[in-house]
Amino acid sequence: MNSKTNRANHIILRVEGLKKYFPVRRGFFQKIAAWNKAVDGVSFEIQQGKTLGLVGESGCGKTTVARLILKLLESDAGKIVFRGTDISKLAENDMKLYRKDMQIVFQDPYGSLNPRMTVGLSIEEGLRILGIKNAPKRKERLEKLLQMVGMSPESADRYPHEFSGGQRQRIGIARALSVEPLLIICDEPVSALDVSIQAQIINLLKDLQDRLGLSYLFISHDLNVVGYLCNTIAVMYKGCIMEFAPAEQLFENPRHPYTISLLAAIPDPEPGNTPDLHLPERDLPDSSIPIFGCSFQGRCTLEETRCREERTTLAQVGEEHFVRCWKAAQNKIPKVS
Amino acid sequence: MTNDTLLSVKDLKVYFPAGDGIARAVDGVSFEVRRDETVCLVGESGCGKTVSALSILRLNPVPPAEIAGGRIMFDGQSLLKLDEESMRRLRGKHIAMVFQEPLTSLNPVFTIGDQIGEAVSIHENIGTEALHRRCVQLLKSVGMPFPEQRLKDYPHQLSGGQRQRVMIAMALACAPRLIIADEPTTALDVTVQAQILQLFKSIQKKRSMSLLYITHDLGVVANIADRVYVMYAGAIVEQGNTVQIFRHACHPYTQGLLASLPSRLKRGKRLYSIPGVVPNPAFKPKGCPFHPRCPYAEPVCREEFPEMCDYGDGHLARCPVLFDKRDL
Ligand SMILES: Nc1ncnc2c1ncn2[C@@H]1O[C@H](COP(=O)(O)OP(=O)(O)OP(=O)(O)O)[C@@H](O)[C@H]1O
Ligand SMILES: Nc1ncnc2c1ncn2[C@@H]1O[C@H](COP(=O)(O)OP(=O)(O)O)[C@@H](O)[C@H]1O
Ligand code: SF4
Ligand code: SF4
Ligand SMILES: [Mg+2]
Ligand SMILES: [Mg+2]
Repeated sequence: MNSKTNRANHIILRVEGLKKYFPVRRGFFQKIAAWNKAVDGVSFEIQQGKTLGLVGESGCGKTTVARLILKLLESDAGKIVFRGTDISKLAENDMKLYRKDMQIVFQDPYGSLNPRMTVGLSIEEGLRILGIKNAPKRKERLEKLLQMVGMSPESADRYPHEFSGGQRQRIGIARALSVEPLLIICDEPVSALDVSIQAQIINLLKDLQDRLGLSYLFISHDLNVVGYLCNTIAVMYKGCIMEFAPAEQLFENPRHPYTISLLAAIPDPEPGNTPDLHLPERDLPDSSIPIFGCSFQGRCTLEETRCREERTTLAQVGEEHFVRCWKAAQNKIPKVS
Repeated sequence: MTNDTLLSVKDLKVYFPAGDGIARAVDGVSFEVRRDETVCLVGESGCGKTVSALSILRLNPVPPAEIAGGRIMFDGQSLLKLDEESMRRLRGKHIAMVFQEPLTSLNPVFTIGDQIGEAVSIHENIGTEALHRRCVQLLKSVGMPFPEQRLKDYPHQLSGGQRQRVMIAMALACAPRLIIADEPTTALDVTVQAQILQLFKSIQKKRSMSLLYITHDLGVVANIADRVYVMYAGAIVEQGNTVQIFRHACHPYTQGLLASLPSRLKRGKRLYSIPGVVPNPAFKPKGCPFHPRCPYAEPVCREEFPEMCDYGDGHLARCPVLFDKRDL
């Protein structure tokens, strides 16, 4: 087996040219006035047992990408190749085969747990889906799952509101694990938590990955968390991936002007380590005005005429390092080995 | 208290009824803010930051809140003793507040111009022309693009960052001596947060103003603070300047918080995590409220509420156990 196919075998998920446009309706007749290009040609891949971080500011399309992959939302274009099969066009019935292999953990576990169901019943649902019909067996699995996420077996008989935010997040993780998934999409799983609890959940996710060989798509806007946890990072802006690189690369040698401004904006918990920033004073430009060329225009300090006249492409600038900016790509010619 | 002190809060206690008992949300908090200084009050959610801040302006509804003790001095005046009329004059004019949620604190049915204008004219009597010029200039001073047009906009037409700029413009309207900002960037993206922090710094460079900045984000603290107060379960557990707190933390809770921060430099290493959770203020453990989570706890910690220990140069920590071990 050559190294290329070997690598392909280790890719659990690959998305290619994923698109989702939402109609923007206006006026009395609610006519479609414009399209909100929430996801506009997103491509990336996740290696088995590894974590891909998807970062970007609010509204850039991260959650929409997650919902497209899980087929909670129909994509307008693109491929979603999961374990070698393109699931993007699969009918709901055929999807069943894959559903249980992909799970999601949300930012607000409260909203995703049924408040009228005990924690035990919520988690057991997954075990039924797995086809474990024998009740004592299910109970045994349930206890094991709770133990895995650091909760006592008694928790099973209590209701979601009786738990703290961190505990509910553990329950959400236990429920995701119940169907023995291969990939877990984590959408801002620690953003709502306090630092001391955040560390507990991050450690838990890491332990589970080591033990079960899970792959994660980890969505966050916190670069400190992503930098700690992820193997590769995709930086998203207005529906497009602007830069994609191994985590160390992205932090050591960021190439896209947007990535550079994001990194500069991380509050650093070391006093004196925060030089005055030279961020553009402008806020996000109005997204309903259609623009041609690079979507970072209007906020980029390096913008030139060409940025507004040419369609952008993702250019390779290093091994597994891609950037969507002609200037960044030209500065240094890709060092492909 | 030095001559330099603008605000001093001493042994403040704010309680709430909680079922059969009482929630001691703020339980003996003392801190001070000097002239032109930025002070951060940092702690995890529920530790009493907002209740402390609201008490300064007497914005905690009484009841249910009960001010069970303490003294708040602002520029020689005792705020808890002030009559309601004097308090109203003080709010906005000398002390202004910026909240976490700019959308809920702006009125949706009035334009930005109306609201900034209102903030100015409460305390000042100026003509329409002059008022308009003031509003434009205020919006300009907070880095708002196209200030003239923005005055006609309604709050929902602005982004979160722009709304927070409007709130800051309103806070600045009467050139207050102190701004209290309660998690003003928590709901914003990092890049916008960085802009707002930069804005506070540049305002302070231009004119004399103190800032009491409340946050749960230690990264923000390091970026903006001159001095820091760390809060846990309704009390200050450590205080000092930024270098003392971040490089030489002396309280196990502060140490734990810093150790549990993720960063790319800790990749591959396990994050330290403080076991357990923040106690409910109605059921605080006896003794040191941190003892069930503390790796250094000794029997005495379960019995006695710890004293503040003085490490010199304004660095204090509420942990006699580590204080006794300091030179070992
Ligand atoms: N069902 C929908 N109908 C119409 N527009 C939508 C829908 N879902 C999302 N959008 C729009 O798509 C864009 C991307 O939204 P998305 O939720 O993916 O952002 P996000 O990156 O997850 O942001 P956040 O960090 O705030 O969670 C936004 O402009 C949003 O308003
Ligand atoms: N109006 C209220 N009634 C009862 N309890 C309250 C009220 N306001 C705050 N508390 C309680 O006081 C404690 C401190 O709250 P707060 O100051 O808002 O914390 P934070 O540090 O997150 O700002 C919390 O336990 C909270 O539940
Ligand atoms: S293409 Fe132009 S506008 Fe876009 S990021 Fe590069 S330099 Fe900036
Ligand atoms: S007083 Fe005791 S319990 Fe409290 S922080 Fe110090 S060692 Fe820990
Ligand atoms: Mg989202
Ligand atoms: Mg608060």
